[in-house]
Amino acid sequence: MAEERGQATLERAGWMREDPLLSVEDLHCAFRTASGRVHAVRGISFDVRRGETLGLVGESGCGKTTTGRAVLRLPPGERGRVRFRGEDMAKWSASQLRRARADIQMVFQDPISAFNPRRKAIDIVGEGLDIQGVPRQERTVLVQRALERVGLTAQQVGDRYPHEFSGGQNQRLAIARALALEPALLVCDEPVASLDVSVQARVLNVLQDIRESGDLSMIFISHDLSVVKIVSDRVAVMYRGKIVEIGDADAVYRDPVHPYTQRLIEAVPLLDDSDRVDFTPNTDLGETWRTTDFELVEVGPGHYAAVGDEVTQG
Amino acid sequence: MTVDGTPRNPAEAGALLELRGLTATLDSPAGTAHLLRGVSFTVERGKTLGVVGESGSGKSMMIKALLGLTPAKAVVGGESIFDGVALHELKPEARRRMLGRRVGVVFQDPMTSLNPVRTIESQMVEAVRYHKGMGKGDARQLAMSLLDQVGIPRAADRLRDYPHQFSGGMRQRVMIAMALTCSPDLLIADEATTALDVTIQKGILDLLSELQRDLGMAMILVSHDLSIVAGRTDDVVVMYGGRVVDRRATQELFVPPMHPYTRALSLAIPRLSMPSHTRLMALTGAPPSVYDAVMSPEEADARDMVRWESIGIHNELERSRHSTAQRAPLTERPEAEDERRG
Repeated sequence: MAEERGQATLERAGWMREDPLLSVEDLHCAFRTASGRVHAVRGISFDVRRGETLGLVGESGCGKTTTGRAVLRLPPGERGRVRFRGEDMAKWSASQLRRARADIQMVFQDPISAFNPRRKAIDIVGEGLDIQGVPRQERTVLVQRALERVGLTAQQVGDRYPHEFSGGQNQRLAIARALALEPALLVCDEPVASLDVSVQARVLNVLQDIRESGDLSMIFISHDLSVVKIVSDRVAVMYRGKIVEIGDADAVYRDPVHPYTQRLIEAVPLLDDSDRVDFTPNTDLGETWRTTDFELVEVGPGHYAAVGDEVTQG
Repeated sequence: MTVDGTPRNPAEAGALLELRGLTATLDSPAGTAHLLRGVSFTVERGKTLGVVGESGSGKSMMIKALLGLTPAKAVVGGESIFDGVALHELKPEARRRMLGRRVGVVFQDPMTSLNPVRTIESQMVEAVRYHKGMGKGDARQLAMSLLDQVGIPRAADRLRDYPHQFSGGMRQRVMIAMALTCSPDLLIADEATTALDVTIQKGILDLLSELQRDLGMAMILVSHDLSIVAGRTDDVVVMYGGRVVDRRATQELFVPPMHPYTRALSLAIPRLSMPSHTRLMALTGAPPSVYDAVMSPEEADARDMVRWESIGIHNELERSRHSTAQRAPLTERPEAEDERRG
């Protein structure tokens, strides 16, 4: 039954493209909590091509972080398939998975809590390389290269510990740690949420530089719509564990179709009126979109929104 | 003026709040830290003032110094005049009593402001009784109507709940309700929406604006994000290195000639009108150290101008690049962000 529904979703998923680096098909994630089972991600499908940045945007509890972690099998989803370079990750052995994790790296919101405070920053950046058993000499070169890519030098980092760096610098160290392994896919979970605007700009520019310098793909998770807009090629808007709109960033922001996307865009605080997005409010679904799932249908070239038929839940 | 702080003649009264050369220093093993280096501004009755700046610029310290909540070792100087009363001449106790009844404050993290082991009812009733001298029944009634006013559904039931039983946005609404218990003349929101989701943030900001208008309060909106204050304030004060570097009517914030730092801050903000893969203008270098010796505003400006203008140079570069080729990668990179700590 589950399998059938998964297949049906695949047939309909017109926004899935050929030859992606990563494809996620009908992913479901659930957790057991004190107050019962929480179905955090309820069947989502998307893909990421080489060199592409996909923005996953939504508010607390929409399942965006769970989705990002499921890609790294931290933990894996309950149902659905995650394929990396065409291979089903669920079929990988532990050692295959460990090797693959060099290819898929993650950057978390709070670098300080992701770092061991007693280790020197330079060793933190090289941590992944140690785990992958990279020889010492090569490690030094790779660490240096990674630091350069985030605008830091080995000299600056020296023998210092994480607490001796600012929030923005620590986040750049976290990015360097991920880059040291020369991954193909970087999952960034709210990497700038705890930073000041001026520092945030610096970190975002670093991410843009990295994207431009190679064929690194990125999943960029954030609740901040304007941040997602400037870093992403494509955007997927999540609401209650579902993707409600997906498409090219410029198209989704120019012409948001789903009522939730429209609400999110409306809520962005504006510096001045030149940032105001003119759209026709979608009232077709009334308020039903809050509690009912609708099919994703194509509303523009490569732009899909959940405004189709009602989905009947099995 | 009278002892309790009401001006003799309200019609003649000047600004509600006036800060004149507010300073704060703190001695530490590393030397004397100048946290505030002479902050001056006024808040008119019923008007809203935005205070903007990076972390460490002194925004929160200014609020704390104003409220008398600085660390015991900090030395505060300068004058703060609230409704004609010279706060700096009052004893801490008298100052707290006066401000507690006239000023409401909402901080960023409601979980650290609320007592986690007491119900909302007991915390609100305590505040109401302390400030208004009401009986328990009346205080409870008022607490309920305030929760209702800030948009908390089923206020009567929710009074019995503990802080952790509210969502982040709802908790911040509780904090606003608590700040309103004294029917303040001035409401201060210090990064009150920073930790919240966009739609929740908009709800809270809308609520604050609505209450400010309906209750005729003055409001100080503190944020690191210029876009938060841009659409919601009458005036804006920009803080940098413990001092005010730009102050103007919000409508004229972006009217040239802009202050170089305000301009730099505004260029660092990602905007919906930017196409994807826009490079932002990051401020390079570190903000001035709190340990720098005291200097005149002119000397400080001259020192800081280097950093403020670094962004202008990059911006010009960027613009010329964009006119020739979209998405052209920047070959040179800005100076590495230096020795800033913390």
